[in-house]
Amino acid sequence: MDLGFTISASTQRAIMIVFILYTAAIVGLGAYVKFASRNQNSSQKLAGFLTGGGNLGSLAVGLIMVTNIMSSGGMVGGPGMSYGTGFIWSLCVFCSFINIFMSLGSVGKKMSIMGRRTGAQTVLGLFRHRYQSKLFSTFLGLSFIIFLVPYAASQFIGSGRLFAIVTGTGNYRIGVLLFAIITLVYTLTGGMKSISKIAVFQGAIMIFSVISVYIVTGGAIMEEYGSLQAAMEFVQSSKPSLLDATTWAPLYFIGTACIQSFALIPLPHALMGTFTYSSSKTMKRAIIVGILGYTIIQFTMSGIGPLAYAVNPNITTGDYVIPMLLSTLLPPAMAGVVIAGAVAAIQSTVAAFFIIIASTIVKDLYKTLIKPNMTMEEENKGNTIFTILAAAVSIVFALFPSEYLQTIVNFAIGGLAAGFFFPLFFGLYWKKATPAAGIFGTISGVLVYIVATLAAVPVHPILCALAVSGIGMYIVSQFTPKVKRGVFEVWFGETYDEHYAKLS
Amino acid sequence: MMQQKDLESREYDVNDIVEDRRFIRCKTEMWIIVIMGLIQILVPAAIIYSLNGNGKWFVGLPMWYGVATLFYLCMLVASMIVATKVIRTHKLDAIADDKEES
Repeated sequence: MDLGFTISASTQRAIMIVFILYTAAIVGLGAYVKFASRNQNSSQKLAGFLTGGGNLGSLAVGLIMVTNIMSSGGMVGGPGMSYGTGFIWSLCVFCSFINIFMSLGSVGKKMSIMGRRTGAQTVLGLFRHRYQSKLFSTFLGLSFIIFLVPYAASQFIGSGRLFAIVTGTGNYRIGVLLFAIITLVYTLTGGMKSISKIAVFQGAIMIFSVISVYIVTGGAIMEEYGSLQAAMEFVQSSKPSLLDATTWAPLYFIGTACIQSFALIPLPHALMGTFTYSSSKTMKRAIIVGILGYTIIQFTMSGIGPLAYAVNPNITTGDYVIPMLLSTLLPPAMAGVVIAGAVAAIQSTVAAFFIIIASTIVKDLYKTLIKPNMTMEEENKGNTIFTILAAAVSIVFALFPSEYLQTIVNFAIGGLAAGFFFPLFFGLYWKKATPAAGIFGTISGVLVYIVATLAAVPVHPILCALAVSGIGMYIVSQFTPKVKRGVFEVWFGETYDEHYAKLS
Repeated sequence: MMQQKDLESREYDVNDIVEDRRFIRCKTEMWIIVIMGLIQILVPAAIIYSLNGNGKWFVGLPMWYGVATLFYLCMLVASMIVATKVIRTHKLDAIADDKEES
């Protein structure tokens, strides 16, 4: 297979050694969490699994947000996209610098307060209370499962291929199994509590590795061309589209920028962070940590494509940009750390997916619809079983990918965002949003996004879907009944009756 | 009984209920952040498509890219200032208490 570059045997060995050390560290952290929580009761274990106990520090919360949102797209796909598409892609992604500020800042405090008022530990549980509708949470819950399982599989495929290339094994399935099992192990040991400990470690590795790659790439450019402008002039003469903004039409840029910024707010793996802290000071500090961490990673990774092109214009596939840079420019041990950073991004995101899928099935679907008197011990067992099942299904999809897998993944982020953006914001802040409007908003958002994508409409599908969802919710709210006054007071009132705060 | 009937009612004026002051503040902050998010998208779009193709460089990069990147970094600083100075540190307890956290 012609990659456009080669990786020496010594680099491959070093990568394996560093990766083994990294794996030992995160499995060890997960085991520590398991040991430390051995005397907890079922309620504490459940809270630990879903929210980390709800009392995490600002560094943990900030880095959980960064690592949850940053996936293979940030560390592998993003550099690849900018290598193939150019700086216009980079700038689109730069819109996401402040997305943790946007999510925690715009909804973080009220979500946290409402979690305490209702006792909700999941996003779906909270908004099932707001809209007083099991149909709403069931549809959204099924959307989470349908989109996140293939998305997890695609992450494993990406990591498996990365592993196969950098280790020279040639077989991505080994990488898939390895990463999936490691992720499953530390997720099972403590859920969000494990992730919170590991996120700090993974976040540090990611930040260190991206800075390393960026610095050596800059060094290679200066050595070969003498100046950044000279390198860009080479790119201009060789592949001018990389430096041409008209590669994308303005409306397409705006739509894609919306996906990178606003659309990340309502994603379940981003919102789960709002249940993990107990003070607004922690939330504010987490915003600062998150902004800085996310900016460092995205600025370096998404901006690196045309620079990498100047270093090596012969890479056959964009996803090989990071493997090329690390194998060409970094000492072997450092290359291993960078790979660990890329793997960390993937594993942290997928771990969050597994928790969301398991809690959705157990708490938001099974307990809500079939067995309301489920005990906490049964919930904990259910979370374990469905975390394993979600991982197993993702692994099977990754080992035997079908043509439909990528299609579903393409719909995943946009569909989830379009289905929950306006129900989230209207539910939190617009007093007149009715249950029927919530149901309309979520179903129309998802369906319009899928139809608009398939129909290849000239306007970005996310803009179409958000318009229909938002305008539709406004109109439907004018003609349908509001929630009961008792529920309304829980969500907006200074005082409220506790009876109406209980989740159904 | 009358109180319970009122709470079961769906025919009420939403403006009659005394709102938790924290929620009023949260909504104000939400609007500030949404407007910043829109600025973050629209201003760079204007910069990009007006400067593209002018053949000029900015710190060694195409001018449209360099200037837009600088704008994003300025928005980063602005968001950190808003996060520290504008977003209030309410207590996050269930009961309405808009005093600052200690």
